[in-house]
Amino acid sequence: MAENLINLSTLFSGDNLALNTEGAGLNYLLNVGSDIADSAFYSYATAQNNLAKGQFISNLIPYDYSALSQTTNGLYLTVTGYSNPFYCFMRYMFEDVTSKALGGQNTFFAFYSEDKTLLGLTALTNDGLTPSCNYTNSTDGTIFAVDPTSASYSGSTPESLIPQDWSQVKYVRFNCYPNSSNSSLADDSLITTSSISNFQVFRGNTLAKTTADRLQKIIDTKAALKTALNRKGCTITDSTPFAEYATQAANIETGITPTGIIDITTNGTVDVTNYASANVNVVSDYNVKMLDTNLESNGSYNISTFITQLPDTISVVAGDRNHLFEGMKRIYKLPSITNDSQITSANYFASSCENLGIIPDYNMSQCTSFDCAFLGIYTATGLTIGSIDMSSATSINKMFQSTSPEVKTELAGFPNLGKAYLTTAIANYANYRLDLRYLETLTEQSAINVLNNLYDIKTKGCNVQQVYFINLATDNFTSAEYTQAVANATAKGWTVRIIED
Amino acid sequence: MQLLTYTSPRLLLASKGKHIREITDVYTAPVYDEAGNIIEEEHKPLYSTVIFPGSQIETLAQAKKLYIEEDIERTEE
Repeated sequence: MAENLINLSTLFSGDNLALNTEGAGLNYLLNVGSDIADSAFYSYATAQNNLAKGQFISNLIPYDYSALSQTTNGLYLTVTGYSNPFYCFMRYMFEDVTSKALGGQNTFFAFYSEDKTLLGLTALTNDGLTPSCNYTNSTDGTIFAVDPTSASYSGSTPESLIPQDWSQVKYVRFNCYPNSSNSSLADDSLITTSSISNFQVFRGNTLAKTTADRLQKIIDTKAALKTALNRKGCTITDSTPFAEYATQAANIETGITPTGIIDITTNGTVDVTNYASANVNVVSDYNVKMLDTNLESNGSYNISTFITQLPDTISVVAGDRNHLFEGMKRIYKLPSITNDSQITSANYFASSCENLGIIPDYNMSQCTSFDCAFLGIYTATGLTIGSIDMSSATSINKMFQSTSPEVKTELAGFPNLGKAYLTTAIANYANYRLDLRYLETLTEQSAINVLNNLYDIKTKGCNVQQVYFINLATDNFTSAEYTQAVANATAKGWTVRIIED
Repeated sequence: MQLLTYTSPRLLLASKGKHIREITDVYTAPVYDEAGNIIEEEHKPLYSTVIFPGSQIETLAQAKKLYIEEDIERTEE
């Protein structure tokens, strides 16, 4: 009879229409391999009076069986001689095991609801097909006994033993009965992980469908193919013969393979179809809108004066990047730098950017020198400078010199400034001085930010160093937070000087 | 010049009619080349009447090693 069975492994392999190819393939509800291989399970079963007590196999995955009925419909129609589709289902699983002289009437499945109420029970004979066992249900529904020797149901499994509502089945238990007189072959030593690896409950939507289902799959696939081909330039309508799909697919132009570099030195429309990349270098006063996003050399560029806009983000070559953004008089906002932490020197950084309004956060933690950085910013509007990590700074001479935004100046602070200061440096060392006296419109919160972000050079062992503010700004600072920030800074070894105008 | 240590933050205050500069911060005249172009800017000292000294400066004597006070009138001449 075995030849009448569907070989599910065939169904599940390859590009078979019986498969739901859009699914993820097999999904296991129950793979009892690792659990059942443990002989302790059988020892326990014996001790418990032949599984008189329900012992749920661990790690069962609750599963909604609503799809199973659909699945087994497909299987049911294909297999003849088995009125109950679940027989086929189980027969497949037992096929391998019975060849190792296990299973048969000694084996059964039990089905449980969410609250572990027994919903159904089925068993197999030695041929793995005919149910043959008796059972009694316990009062609480979770304990039952099986008598495989009774052969009370040698004909067929009473329908009542099969769950009538598969959607209620949440747990499946597999049991063996190794100590029965009729189960001399049921030696659990014969059970290996590999031999029972087929003990899987297959998820319904991966199983075969009906012929109608298969035809629908073809129809759906055809529709998807039509959509895909039309996106590639084909003209397939609902009336286009299926056979023409291949013809149109064969005529799809695959295009060219762009190679080489084209140099573009003038404005206008350029056909770049055949090129892998374009080297754009248009130099024209008042027409330059963007800067190349990778600045590779030091130096002040004359063209900087005419640049009106920079990309939002750029990268720079690691190392000393002195004069970066210097002299960009028309720029309002500086870009973020993706690898700002690789800059080791930033002298004249953003200096003479007269109309600068926004400087974003920069992680300059590896940068040692900021001499003349932010120098000469006279913007008529406000200037907002984000947090600039200065963990490695050892020279900040003339930073912010002559910078005097007219409306207001907002600073997020310079975290870790002082961290790299040498303990051998003299007190009030000019290169270590944070001179903000030109910032007459500095806000109180900015002063607080600056002071609170200074590094504790006192604890480090440095001599005292200085921060300068201008009295034109600090005369308006009255908050307790500012006073506390000054106290914090002085405690960390910084002298705060209020310079008279 | 007096150091108030009982405030928080502590204060280094100039005496009446005086203000404080750093000892090393002195006036330097502008320098010109032969053509009369300025090659080195004039430098005027920076003055304060109030300073919040860092905690390393614990005594007035220590402060006087770094700062000096001068008559305000004299510096404005």
